Amino acid sequence: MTRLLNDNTPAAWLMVLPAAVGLGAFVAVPFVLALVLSLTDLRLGSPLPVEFVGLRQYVRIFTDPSFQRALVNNAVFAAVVVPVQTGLALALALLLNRAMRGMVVFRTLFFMPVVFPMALVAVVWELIYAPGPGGTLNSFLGAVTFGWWEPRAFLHDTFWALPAIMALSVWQGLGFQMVILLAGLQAIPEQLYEAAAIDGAGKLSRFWHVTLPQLRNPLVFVVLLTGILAFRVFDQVQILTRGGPHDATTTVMFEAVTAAFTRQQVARASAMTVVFFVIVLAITLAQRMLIREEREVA
Amino acid sequence: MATVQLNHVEKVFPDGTRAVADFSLDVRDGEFLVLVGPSGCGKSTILRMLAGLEEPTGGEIRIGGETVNHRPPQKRNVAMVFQQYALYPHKTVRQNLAFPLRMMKMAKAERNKRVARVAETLGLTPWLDRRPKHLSGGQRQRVAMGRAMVRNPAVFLLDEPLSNLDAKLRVQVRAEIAQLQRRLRTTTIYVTHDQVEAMTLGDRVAVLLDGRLQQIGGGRELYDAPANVFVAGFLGSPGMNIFHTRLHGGEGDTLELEFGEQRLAVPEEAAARFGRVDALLERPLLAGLRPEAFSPAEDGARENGVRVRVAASEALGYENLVYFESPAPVFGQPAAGGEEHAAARMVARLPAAGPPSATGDSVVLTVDARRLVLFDREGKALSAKD
Amino acid sequence: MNGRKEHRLTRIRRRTAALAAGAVNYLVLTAAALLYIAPILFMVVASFKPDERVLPEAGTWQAFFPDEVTLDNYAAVFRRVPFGRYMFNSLLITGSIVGGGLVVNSLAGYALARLQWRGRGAVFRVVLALMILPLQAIAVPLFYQTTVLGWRDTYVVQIVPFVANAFAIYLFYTFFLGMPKELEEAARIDGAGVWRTLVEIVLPNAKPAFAAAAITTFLMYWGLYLWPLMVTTHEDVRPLPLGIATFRTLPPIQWGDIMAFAVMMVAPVLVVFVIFQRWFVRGVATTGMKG
Repeated sequence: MTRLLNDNTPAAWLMVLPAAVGLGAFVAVPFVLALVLSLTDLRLGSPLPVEFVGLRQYVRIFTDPSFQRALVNNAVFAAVVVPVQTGLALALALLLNRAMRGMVVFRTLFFMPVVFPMALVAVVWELIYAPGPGGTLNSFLGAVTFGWWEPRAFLHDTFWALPAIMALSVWQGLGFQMVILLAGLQAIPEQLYEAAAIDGAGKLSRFWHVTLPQLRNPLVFVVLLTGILAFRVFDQVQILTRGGPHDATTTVMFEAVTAAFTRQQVARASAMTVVFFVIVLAITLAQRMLIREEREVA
Repeated sequence: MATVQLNHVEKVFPDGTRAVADFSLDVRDGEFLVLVGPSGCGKSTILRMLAGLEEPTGGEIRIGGETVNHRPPQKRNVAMVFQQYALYPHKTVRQNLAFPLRMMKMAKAERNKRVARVAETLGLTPWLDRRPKHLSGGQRQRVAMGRAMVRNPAVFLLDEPLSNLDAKLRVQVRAEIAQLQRRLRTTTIYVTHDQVEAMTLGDRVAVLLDGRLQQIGGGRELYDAPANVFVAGFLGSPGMNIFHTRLHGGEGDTLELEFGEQRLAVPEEAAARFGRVDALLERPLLAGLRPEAFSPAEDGARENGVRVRVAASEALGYENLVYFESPAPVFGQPAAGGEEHAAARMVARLPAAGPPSATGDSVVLTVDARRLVLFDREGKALSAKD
Repeated sequence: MNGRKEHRLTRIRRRTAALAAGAVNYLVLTAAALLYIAPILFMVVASFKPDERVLPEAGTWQAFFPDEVTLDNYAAVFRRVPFGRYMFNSLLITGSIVGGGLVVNSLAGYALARLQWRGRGAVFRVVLALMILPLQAIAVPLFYQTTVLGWRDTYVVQIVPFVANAFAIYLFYTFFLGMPKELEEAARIDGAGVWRTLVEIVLPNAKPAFAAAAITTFLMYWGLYLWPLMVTTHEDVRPLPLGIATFRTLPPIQWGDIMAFAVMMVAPVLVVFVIFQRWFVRGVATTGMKG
């Protein structure tokens, strides 16, 4: 076949090659490896030969109470953090979406924690969560409830540990969502509001009938991204609680890393990450469906 | 300096759209050829195939006698002016003009000399160190022209280069382009949808519709002897009035043309152009009359006077355009229906000196049938050559 | 007379209402912002307080308004851990990922968006598919793979796997797709080849895409903790997030020192962020729009 006039196959492949090699070797291959390893009994440093064990690893992890607890914790994390964080982010974005002086300053302040690594956030909040009546959060809560609040050891309390992890995660991630929603708000044409006002819509009905539908795509993106992040939780757990107390804060990723490192069970850990991937895939497909639907309507 | 030939060129896009079909054209060395047609007629695709931005799916393109079908744009020695100018926004005017020369690996001294000369010619010297963002529309247009001229290409390709200018500037730049081309004598192919540009600029004009060549020739030739009803209606503003009719034999050797209820006498000099008239008699035909074929009737009954009702009139200052209810069924329009605006209309170009006519007036117009054009029922012009 | 007066009154009333609404808005925002940045203030204040007073005063006003200021904690950080080394490692690793990524991913994004080549459709579909794979989903096998390669405890293992980035490729792809095509066509006609067009015409006009890609990849990898935790054991190659986690458990636990570490760790990034905050915000916002 003769080369077409505007066919740039050699140049294009040269441009794509580094990315293709990188993605292939460090994303595609490990992914396939995860699928393959999860069907074996590979343990690092084990003298026994590696065997193909079918779905036995999956049976094992799903009957493991710690892993079950991890799935539940991630689900609870998502169920609480997604609405709370999205709601707060939307409220802030609405407050910031005004033509008033100083909005940039406020936006900058709320966005700041996004550039904080989670490890740092965890360490700072550990001090805030300090147990006893002298701890920062304990004394703050004591003050606002006029002494009604009983001091807790947040991170060592089977009930409070997970909410404590959630709170600092919300604090760190809120600004990111707020900025996305704010950009979405600013993309809504002013005329829509004017038209709605002329049609007699009040503030609340303008929010329901103009703002929310127009904000649909950014909202879907934010909700599902937070959903995925909820299943990725690892850093803060590893640093603050190591999954404890009594698995109260363990997560899928924490279980996987523990299996791979402290017990050298690479196969078992692979099975866990495959489960994690299936969850992420489900959320992503839901997102693509929801957003595409919106495009068809519009 | 080069000739350009297109032999049976065809372009079918991957989605199945046939943009250009069996298109053949010879452009002479140094000629100014205009490709004109409504949007979507394939004229831009032809230009892009000449530039090397698109590849024809059939036929052959030759520049300077060499087949260039598979040659990339940078090896064709053609220059192009884009509709949106496509000036490099991060480069100054000077750098924009020098870019094609740098690509030729021209020495710096020579390069500077050429840029200076082109800038001088186009009056761009004071703006050489500005970026395109800080130029007016007319200046941007001239930079685009300069970038095309600077390396003395074999062929200039211009894609609607005036469409982003305001009306006044457009007239001025149009004249400048014509002057420039006459001086440089570079083979030029100019694409436009504007028939005034086509008529004023082109040594020859090629009219396109739906990817096919309709007619090619000098402006006057196309205007007076359109090859079909499309060309007749497309050229001229307003276009030719075309209506359904029949020819009848009159007294003696004369011919008469149906114009609704009336009959118009066809002068011999016009009849001679239609070839064998006998075969046409009593058969349904189409006839075309330019708006300027009508004139206000002077007092008394004159030959070919028609009484019409004025539907609307536009006073342009130098002339009046008078739209009147057509006595004959107009081609391409619904036959007179119930509603007023649906009534088929014709238009006459009358001197501004005449009395202004108001809607509803009844006026008498004289028809000059010497420049009558006849078409068969498919819309193809009848001529003695067939 | 009466009518005009009433009119003026309603106007005044309306303006007062608008002013009041504005004031309420400011009040709510200020309260929220104070509450929100309290942990940051807390961190900064604690870093300047004498170490023995940090924890006892954590629940008092002195947590935010110190009556004694010292730089001892900062000196202690440098004395107790190789902070400079951590910082250098973080900058080197993140810088290489971002810098290398800009080159590799912009080239791929351009080829996908603008060039015609055999294999384009397939490569594009693969990139789209890989976009949804987070590091966490492949961390364990990737760890196994790099261990087999003998890459543990190196910079390479912290950089090379992340340079090619499906998400960044997609970001560049959409940017180039939205660029007017005529510029490149003009360059081709003016005599430039594919590479020359890319370097001289396309890239200089792609600054916003580079900024957005740099910022989003920086935010992705600057705080990476899981991966360096898995593949490094030596302080020599460990980045800041691991540094602070290690320092927190290093006896004796002195919170003033830890907070000084935290402040020094985040301050440079915060400065850059405040200067370029419009670009950060835009970068993140485009990410959301693309979603």
